[in-house]
Amino acid sequence: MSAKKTTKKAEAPLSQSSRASRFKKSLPLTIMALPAFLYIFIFNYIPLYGLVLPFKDYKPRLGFLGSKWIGFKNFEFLLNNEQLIHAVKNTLMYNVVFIILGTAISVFVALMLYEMSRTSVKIYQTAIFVPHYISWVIAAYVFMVFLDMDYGILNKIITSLGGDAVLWYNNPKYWPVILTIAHIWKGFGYSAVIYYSALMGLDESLFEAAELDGAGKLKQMWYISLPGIRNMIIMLFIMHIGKIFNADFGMFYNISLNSPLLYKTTDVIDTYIYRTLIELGDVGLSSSVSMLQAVLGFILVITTNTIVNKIDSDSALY
Amino acid sequence: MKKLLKAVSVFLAVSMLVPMAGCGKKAADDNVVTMYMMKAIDSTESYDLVMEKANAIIKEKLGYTLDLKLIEQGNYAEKLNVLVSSAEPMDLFFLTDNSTYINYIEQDSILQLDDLLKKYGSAIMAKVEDVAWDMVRYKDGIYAVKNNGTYSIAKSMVFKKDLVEKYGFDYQSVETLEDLEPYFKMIKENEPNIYPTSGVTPKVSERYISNTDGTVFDNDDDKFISIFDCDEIVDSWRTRADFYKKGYIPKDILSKNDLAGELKSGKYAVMNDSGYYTEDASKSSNYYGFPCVEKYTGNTMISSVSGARMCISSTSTHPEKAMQVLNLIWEDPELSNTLAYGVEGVDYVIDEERSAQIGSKSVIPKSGDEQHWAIWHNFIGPLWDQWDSSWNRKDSLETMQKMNAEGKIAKCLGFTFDSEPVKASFAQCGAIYQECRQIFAYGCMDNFDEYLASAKQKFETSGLDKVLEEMNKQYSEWKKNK
Repeated sequence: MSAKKTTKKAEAPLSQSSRASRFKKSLPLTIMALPAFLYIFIFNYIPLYGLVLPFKDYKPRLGFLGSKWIGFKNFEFLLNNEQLIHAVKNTLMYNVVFIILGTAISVFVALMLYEMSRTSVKIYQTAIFVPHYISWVIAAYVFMVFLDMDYGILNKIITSLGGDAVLWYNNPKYWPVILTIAHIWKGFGYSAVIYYSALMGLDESLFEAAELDGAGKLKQMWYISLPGIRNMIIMLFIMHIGKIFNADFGMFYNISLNSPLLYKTTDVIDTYIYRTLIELGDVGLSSSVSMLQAVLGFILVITTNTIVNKIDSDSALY
Repeated sequence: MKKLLKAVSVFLAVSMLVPMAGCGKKAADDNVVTMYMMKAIDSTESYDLVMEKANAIIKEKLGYTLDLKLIEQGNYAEKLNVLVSSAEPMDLFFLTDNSTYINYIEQDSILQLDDLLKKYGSAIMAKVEDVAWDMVRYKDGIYAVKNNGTYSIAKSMVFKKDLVEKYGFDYQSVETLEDLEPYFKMIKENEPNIYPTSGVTPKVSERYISNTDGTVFDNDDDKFISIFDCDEIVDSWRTRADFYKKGYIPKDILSKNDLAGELKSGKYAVMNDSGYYTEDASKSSNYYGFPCVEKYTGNTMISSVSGARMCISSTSTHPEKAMQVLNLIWEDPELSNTLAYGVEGVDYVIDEERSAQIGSKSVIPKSGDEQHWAIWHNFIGPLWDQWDSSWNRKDSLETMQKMNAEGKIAKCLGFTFDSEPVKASFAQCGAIYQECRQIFAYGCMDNFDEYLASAKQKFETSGLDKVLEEMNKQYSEWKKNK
């Protein structure tokens, strides 16, 4: 990536003054990045000390440090655990579908946005971004308006057309589709805007030249736009891979109304951890599941990045 | 690179220190005893008045005050779990569930009370029946004060009165779940706005006690068996699955968040009792808010499976004060009844006529929209000290006490299972039980036999056999030393 190249150049010996001036120049950007930095620090780094929990016989009164070390005893819970294997499978399947479909749709929408006039882009951008701000708790009720088994809009339509009401909340087979729709509805606006901003960074003269050479819109997209945002796509892809063992707890828990009948297709690692913690009340066991999730994700992100590095070092994250 | 490493290590070090610094617990006020309690009704507008009156009594006798913290019934277990797991400083808390109780003992979250009871608990020792101590005994210690209540609980099926009369259904003749079917059919065909049932529990078994991990205690054979080997239970599941299929139970019963509120809406023809059986159905009518009739289905055995109890948190900075306050609540009926009924004139009035008639205090609590305070006496503890009212008549309290004295005591009463040797399997079985418990209870699966087989198989993979073997081993040892 271009940023990488400039840093390499900047590694040449710097005098004290130029370092200061560079700092001054980047100060506004640093401040802009600060909230995100703080967020990650508080929610992703501070809780790291909780990694001692799976190895302890946790007693709240003794606290994290005072509780007794018990080695890998808590991890026995992970062995032969069908519910967990099931949750892992679900998580992986959903995330693979989410990554592929989500990326395709977002890129497609970004390409569409790029072709629009300035004013209509503003309207569309806002409209597709709104779901991102809606909490899953509220979204769950919106879905219920459609899916309620007695009074839902969908069942009303189906019965008025002479069909039998569908038991949405009782039958797990509908949920892969419902949850995919929910995920894409809420998420595609956000990543579409990221891709759109990457498109905005492309040199317009490329498009003008292509037009002069007689390339149509489709050809332009294929040969200019897509290669132009390739790095961005790969970067987001790697980041998604890193989270492939993480599921959006809010969505899986709320949209399915946490109905045990649907666990077959709606139970993911995060909801499983939550249930073991709430229902068994054992912090040690549930944190061992959580640690497994984190370690697997970490390994995956390193592996993916290494592979990408081998193939095309410019596209890699680091 | 070196600089980067240095920066990262500093960053990590700081991030480890920040939360540790936050761990210093704020000192609790030494003269305030906190008590976490489940809300009995939604409206608690009289809170300030009630606490003022109760604290006047406590302050005068002991010099402390009570800080009562109320949590909604629906969230109580979850919120309490969060408080306990995060070692929140607190003194007393209310608990109903036995498996949570065991869990809290094992993780050192609650205190052993034997010594405290000896020193400060004279009123409690006098008013709690002997059998009740066995219900909360863990190994050789007592970790909770068992609240007064019906230990051998008379259970019943509750029928909405107007419907029973309208269709002339002879509810007293109902013996099995299947006997209900003609009535359900009638309701379904003729009352489009009424659901036949929300799922009703069958006749109480004289023989089996279910645990929350897929095991069942068989009192006749005096051992623990798998829930799937217990035909009586499996058959009742099958019947309920059949009811569900026929549309007698609402389709979305599992996704209803507030089932208790739903039942009070009067949209159901047959329900479970609201706690226990009363001959004139006064308890259930009062709870559901419409006239009901009941069919007695039997008494449960006295075991330790459930029941209200009060614990002292191990995070308490002054357990002796907590015990003194609790003891005072048990000692002073004025105090316990104030906490339950509220303030005279505001939340209840005295029924002079009846008081004279029965020779002890009788009150009329406000009800409906005017009711701004209530905590059931068996949440607080000394139920037998309750003033007579529509909640419990004096004679029904006496009946309950009599039933406790006559109740059949399960052979396993007082036995506690130490799950440590089979911890992983035990926890997995518990999680699976939680998953399929409600599905079986309401029968809302697509195909009963398929679901039953898959549930059974899940328990097998998790090692239910191992758990049972260990349980029976510990049980026979316990019997030897009894």
